[in-house]
Amino acid sequence: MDLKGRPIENTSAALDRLYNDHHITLRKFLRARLAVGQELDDIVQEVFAKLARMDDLVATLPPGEPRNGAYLCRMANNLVLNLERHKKVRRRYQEGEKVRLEQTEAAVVGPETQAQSDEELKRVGNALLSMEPLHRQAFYLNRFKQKSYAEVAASMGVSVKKVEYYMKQALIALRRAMVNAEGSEQ
Amino acid sequence: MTDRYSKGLLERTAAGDWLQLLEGAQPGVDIQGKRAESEAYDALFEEFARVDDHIESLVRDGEFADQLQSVISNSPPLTGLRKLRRNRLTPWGIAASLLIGAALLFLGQQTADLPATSADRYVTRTGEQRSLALADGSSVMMNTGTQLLVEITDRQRSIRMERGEAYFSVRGDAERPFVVNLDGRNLTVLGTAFNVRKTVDGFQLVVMDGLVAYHLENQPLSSHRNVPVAKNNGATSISTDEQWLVKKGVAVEFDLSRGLGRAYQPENIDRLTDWRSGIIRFEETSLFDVILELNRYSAKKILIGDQSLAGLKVNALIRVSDINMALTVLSRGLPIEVNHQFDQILITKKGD
Repeated sequence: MDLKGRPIENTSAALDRLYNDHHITLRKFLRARLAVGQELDDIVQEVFAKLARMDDLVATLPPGEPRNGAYLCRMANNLVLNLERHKKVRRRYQEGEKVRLEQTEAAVVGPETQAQSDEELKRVGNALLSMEPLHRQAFYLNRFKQKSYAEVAASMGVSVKKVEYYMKQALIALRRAMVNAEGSEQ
Repeated sequence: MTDRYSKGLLERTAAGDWLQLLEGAQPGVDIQGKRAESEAYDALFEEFARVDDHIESLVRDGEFADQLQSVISNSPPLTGLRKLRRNRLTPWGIAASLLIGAALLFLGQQTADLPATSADRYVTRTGEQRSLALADGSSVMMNTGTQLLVEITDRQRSIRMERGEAYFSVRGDAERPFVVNLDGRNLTVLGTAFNVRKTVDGFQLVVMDGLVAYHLENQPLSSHRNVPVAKNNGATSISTDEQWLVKKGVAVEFDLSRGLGRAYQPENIDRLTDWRSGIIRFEETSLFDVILELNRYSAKKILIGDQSLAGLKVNALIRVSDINMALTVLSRGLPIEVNHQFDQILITKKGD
């Protein structure tokens, strides 16, 4: 039985269920996430191919669990980021240049190497550890403990709107730390 | 400066948009428009996307998650202290805040969501399958008619198997061995994947990954002796009163009533844990053994009415969630009839 008492499904039934429940959220997400002209369906396809290959699909994404939508969006986000990274490297080679470590003058600057990405990860991690406690608490409960905003609000004794505010502040602090911006210390 | 002001607003907008997008609460088309219009917004959006991805990596990083939890539970209480910090502190103010701070510390730490410390019982009915995500990141898949008592605390991870069968995917944690206790025996693991099935005389252990230590429940682990396995598909006999390390690819049937364990390396080890998919495969299995297995998933007892049928060879894929359908499928390929009676299902010879 799943969380709501429905019979547990094998992988293909679980995939059908996930698609029906969340493909609209996923498409909305991708429409915002992708540049105009980029193929939406390819990524949707890739997400579900990945899900099909998962060992413990039903355990990780129990049928009926509302947080599954965000999980799928994050999978898609990760795929898009990896695609962008590969495209950058491919473009470099096509132009006959050796991969350079310096950032380019492109409008959207991202980590060019694994080392730079690791650096960003470290900065984000440290920022999380030293973040303003109220923001950190909400962020921790939501992301690390998979609590919904309503559950976080109840746990912290504040309103959902407050939780939304904390989450936004947390994200802002993390971004500033990641890009090593001025005023990233709060 | 207007520049900084609008950048701050843009930053908050992009952050809010990102969070709402994940909740499915934003029409993606609007954001696409904003990104096309403003390079600054576009860059911010991409950066939030990257932050989120880094957070995902950190969430999956057990060590970091533990570290963060530890930092949070060791911080001073959240409410009260924060407000005081904002005020301009006069000498009186400082004294007051120290007093209040001390009082709050007495009241106890505000903690993050720590796992429950009391044991929880989980039960599946006949024919039911269920998966559990444990507080430490491990997962357990429960098969039909299973009963587990789960206790996960800061210092230990233990599961008592009272009935049934379960597949464990255990997250490695050097500080907390994971122990499955049944029939006076302990299966201790650090991080590994394995299947345990209670049988009439004891239980069956199949190790899919890593290492599982078998020992008597009141005995500390001392031996590092691997279960001996025969080279060529044979089985070896071991004593169930000794300590054993069972490694990946090995299955052991512990017959506690006789004190003997039968250890072997199954050729198709996945077959033994196939139940997790909800589909069992029978290959050249006798009808007797098939019915024996199906009875685990059937609320109504299935009986073979005619002894001559017991030896029929079955090749089939069966969905355990629908035993009736399974029996229908069998009756199509074999000379049998399925008779549904009030309190049992009787298998008879076709044409009887």
